[in-house]
Amino acid sequence: MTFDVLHALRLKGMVAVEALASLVERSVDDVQAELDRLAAGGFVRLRETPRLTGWALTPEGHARHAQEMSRMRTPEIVSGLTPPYEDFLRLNDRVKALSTSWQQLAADDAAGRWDAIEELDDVLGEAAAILIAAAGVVPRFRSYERRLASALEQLRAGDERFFTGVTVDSFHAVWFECHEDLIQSLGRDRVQEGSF
Amino acid sequence: MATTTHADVVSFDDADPGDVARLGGKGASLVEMRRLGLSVPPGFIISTDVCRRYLRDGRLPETIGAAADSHLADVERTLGRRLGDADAPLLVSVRSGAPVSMPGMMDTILDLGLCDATVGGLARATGDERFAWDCYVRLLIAYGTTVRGIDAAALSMATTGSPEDADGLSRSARSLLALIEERSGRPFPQDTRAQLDEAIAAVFSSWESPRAKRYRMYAGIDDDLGTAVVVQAMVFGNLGEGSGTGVAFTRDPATGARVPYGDFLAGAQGDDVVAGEHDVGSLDDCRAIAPEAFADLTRALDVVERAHRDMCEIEFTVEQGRLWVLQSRVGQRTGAAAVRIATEMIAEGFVDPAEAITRIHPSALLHLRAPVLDPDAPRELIGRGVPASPGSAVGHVALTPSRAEEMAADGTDVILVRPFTSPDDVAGMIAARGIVTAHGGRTSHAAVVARGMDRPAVCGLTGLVVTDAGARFGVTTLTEGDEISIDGTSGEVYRGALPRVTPAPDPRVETLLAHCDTGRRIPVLAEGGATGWADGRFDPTAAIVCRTREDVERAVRAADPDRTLVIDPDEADGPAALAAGGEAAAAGIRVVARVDRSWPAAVRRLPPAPWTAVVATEEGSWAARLLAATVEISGPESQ
Repeated sequence: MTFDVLHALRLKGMVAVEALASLVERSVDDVQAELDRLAAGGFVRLRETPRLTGWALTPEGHARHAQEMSRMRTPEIVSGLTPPYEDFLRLNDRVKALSTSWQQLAADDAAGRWDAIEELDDVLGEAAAILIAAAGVVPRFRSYERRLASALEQLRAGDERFFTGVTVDSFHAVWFECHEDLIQSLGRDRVQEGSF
Repeated sequence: MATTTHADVVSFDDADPGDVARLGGKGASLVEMRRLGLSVPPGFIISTDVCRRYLRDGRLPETIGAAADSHLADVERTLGRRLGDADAPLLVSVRSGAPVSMPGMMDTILDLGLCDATVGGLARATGDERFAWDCYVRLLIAYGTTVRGIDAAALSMATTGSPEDADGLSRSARSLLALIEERSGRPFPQDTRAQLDEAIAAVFSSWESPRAKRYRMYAGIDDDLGTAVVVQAMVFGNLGEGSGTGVAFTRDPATGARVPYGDFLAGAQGDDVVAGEHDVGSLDDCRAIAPEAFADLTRALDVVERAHRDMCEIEFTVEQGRLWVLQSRVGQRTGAAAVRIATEMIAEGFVDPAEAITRIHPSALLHLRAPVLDPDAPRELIGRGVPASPGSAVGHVALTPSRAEEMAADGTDVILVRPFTSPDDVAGMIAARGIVTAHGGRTSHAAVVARGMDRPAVCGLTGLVVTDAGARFGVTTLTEGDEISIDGTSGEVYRGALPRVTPAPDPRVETLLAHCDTGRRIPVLAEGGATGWADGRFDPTAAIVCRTREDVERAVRAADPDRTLVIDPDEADGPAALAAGGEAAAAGIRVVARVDRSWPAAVRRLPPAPWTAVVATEEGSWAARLLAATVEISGPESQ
């Protein structure tokens, strides 16, 4: 669990313990105990801002995460994860374009909203295959499929924040995180790839 | 169902534009444009009746072929080109057009009529061999996917030739032709008339696509409506001298000023203007190369504005000095232009106030009050990028998300400057007033997130290099804490703190709001009204603002059942307040709910009741006055 906690903090920046527990799929008590251990080692610290309170990596935590990441980046992992990553990149442009057009839909364009959500459903179908392939190499990628599906479910239930919202686990927010996770897992460089 | 075959296929010139049920929305609007005397590329409509018969019998009625032939001959005579002619080929577009907006159907096939024999004719006519092969490749891809149902990825993988030159494109065309034959068991029709029949049948079949069916179920649309097919001649803005393509507005869409405004690109076709890859000229360029077409355009603008009684935009092509109007519709405009156009049209007696105010979206008024960088202040431009999220912001540079949060926690206004953004930047983006990135464009993750939280952003700033130590904007290097000013509407970044000013109030806004107040349907309440209703400060018809479940329950118990409840959910008790509002609505009380705090003037529907969101914050008060006059109040009776 140590790595999972470090990794979640690395991806999300600052996370409350409850949200962290749900991300790593452990009980709050277990995660709190792990955080306490990591904090004693100087790898994480509790940060408080006027807006929220959460756990974040210290510079030592960042270094330890980077070290563990590079240790896990074996040639087998890299070669296994590369094809799903390339498929993901192809879908990425579509998700970003779709998110942008969603944000620019007229407030009364019900047909446009419906169509955008349908297309997101198509994307999820294709993404699921990619993430299952990725999970065959690194199991945690399976969780992105679950989180994307749950965002779509909320969206279908009428909560429009779950398309591109920032304060909820929206489709775009989860997608963005998954993209980052793939990049880090492969040790890639966004600038060289030109995918932002 | 129609019994007269002459109405199964109609030209744009002899149909009733009111017959949307048979012509479809797109077809009816073309007929309407012809009725107004606009010069529309000729074509014809195959009615929704034919669609129903096609779906019932599984084939096109036999009479349709002859009817289409006769209409096609008219089009050929008008343009002096013939379908399938190797020297002067007629090309057509084929589109679906249902009586109501209908996602999920086959949309458009362009350049139908191209084949091995005609592609050379198009190349000679346009003097552009690359263009002709590009059109052929696009047609083959569209035909392969939409008519023959071949996977788009497979087709795009077959385009192996370089898209830069005619040779590469002709190689791609060869592989596409082979792939279409291999995958669908039949070659791409070199008989251009057969292309047309197959495309028409494909449009009709797409009425039954799974996605279209799902939409009909969702939106409660009758499965028997069917779609019409619009077949229209293609015209070319790259056909030698005196040709071009453009978009024109009846009034300036930025300011609302009553002068025609637009973009024109000589010697260009279709999407070139929209794509933004070319430096586009003004309508003066059109006047210079095609004075008669320009005079026709001016007349056309006047005609459409009178017909719609609103500001309109026209997409047009000039082909060898002749104007062709492709589309006309009510035009998009800025908030400032919307206010000016509405008040001037009311003053001109062109449209009555009740109608004019419904054309303004509340968010337009909100943006009018958004502060801008003082246009008169001295300024030092240090970079220009993609305007990714509108608005202006001034603050101190932070180079990492955690510093952005720390600086913001100390009460500093922060502009987060990053090479690009990752998910762990999001907290820093929330803490910042504005965002600048070196990489990525309008659809980058940074842009999506910035728009999602209404922060101004400039992305893809070429030449910006960001490290932990500083941000180099070309020749200017800034470090943490230096002040900058950004304009997410223009994409500009300035050194130092420019003053932000609220744009001078336009007197037209007050005029407009006075019209709104006259037509008010529900009271406008300020924030904090939740406690006011009980002590009689509001008139007996005033709505009651409720923030929590307790508020709702109290209001339901104590108030007159005719009152409207405005649910303005509290952060903490929001879901419970909304749920209580839903119960009240179900019990017959009128409920209006505000659902999105980041946007103080949203009109949206939310399950389970068809609530309409409203706003009454200080910054949203203009929007609230507009909304109060235009909102549809929903109760259970409308569900």
